[in-house]
Amino acid sequence: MNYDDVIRHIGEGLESARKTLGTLTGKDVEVTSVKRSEMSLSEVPFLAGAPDSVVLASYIRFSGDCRGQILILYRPDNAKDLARALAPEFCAELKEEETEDLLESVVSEVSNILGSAALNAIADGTESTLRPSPPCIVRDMAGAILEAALVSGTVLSEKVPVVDVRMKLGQTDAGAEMIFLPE
Amino acid sequence: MAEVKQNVIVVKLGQIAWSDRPEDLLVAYSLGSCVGLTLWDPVERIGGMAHVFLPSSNGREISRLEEAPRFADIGVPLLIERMERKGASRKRLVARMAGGASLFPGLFREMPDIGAQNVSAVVEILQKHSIPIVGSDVGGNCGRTMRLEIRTGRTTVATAFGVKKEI
Repeated sequence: MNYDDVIRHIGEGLESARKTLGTLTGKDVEVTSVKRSEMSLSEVPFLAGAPDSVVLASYIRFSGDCRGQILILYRPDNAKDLARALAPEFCAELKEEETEDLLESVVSEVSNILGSAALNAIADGTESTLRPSPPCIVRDMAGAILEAALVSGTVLSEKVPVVDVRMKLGQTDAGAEMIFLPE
Repeated sequence: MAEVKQNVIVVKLGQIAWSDRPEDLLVAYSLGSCVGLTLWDPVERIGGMAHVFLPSSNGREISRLEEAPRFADIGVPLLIERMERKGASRKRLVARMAGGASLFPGLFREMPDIGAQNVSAVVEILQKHSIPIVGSDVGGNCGRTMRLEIRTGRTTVATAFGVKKEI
């Protein structure tokens, strides 16, 4: 697979997801960067910042004409901002300890929009078939989640191809980081 | 009491490190399916850490030395050898281990549980070298950060959910 083409298709897919999320939240959604790099295996757990910082993540594997993994990571505060934007009345009624399920639900929904838009655009653009797994929502250390994804893909090469997409919602830094790990 | 300054050495995925300098603190951040292993010689006060990525090299030829420790079957014996060169005795070494979790449990039932395989591989290698495991916090489905203080040999494990314990 040509990664330059993949990045272009991801950009096209996220443009459509951006519009959908903007309509749902009533805020501007901006894709702030799309970068492709080859990272040393040992550096991948540091990709989203401090490896022991807690994130909510949606994990999707895809198979078909090519295989890989997508991780969409949200800082807990960013997930709360997303939830407030998507369901303001509902959030106002909830106590702090009741928000976990809501955050997971919001992360799942937003990740479905982002992940399926990106995968559909890659599949259409490369005329390939990609089959995504159901998303798995995990709350844990960012580095542990990235490491577990590498293990799941039994990545053996020293250099790992990574596509790193960063997004933000409205004027705040609230957003998400989408990481593609092709196998 | 005077503040003790610590020199943090980060043992990244697939790496090993060892030290006899009291100010050193070896850290393996965010172990998921990987296993963190510490070895400690209480007489010479030499400590080592491995951040094991996969259980076996399956006979694969590893041309670059820095890539070798990621596999338990190469990394653990290599750590023992490097600590012995530093003055540690294999007979005195004690081991502690953490990690080997399954962060996406039940999602891919057809896939092997590599966290559990990493734990089994490390245990088997330690048994082969007659090194006792004196502390362990493995399995489950949460990430862990493991730290080894060379000054004391104290090994701690912390999770994302505020649990911190000495093993």
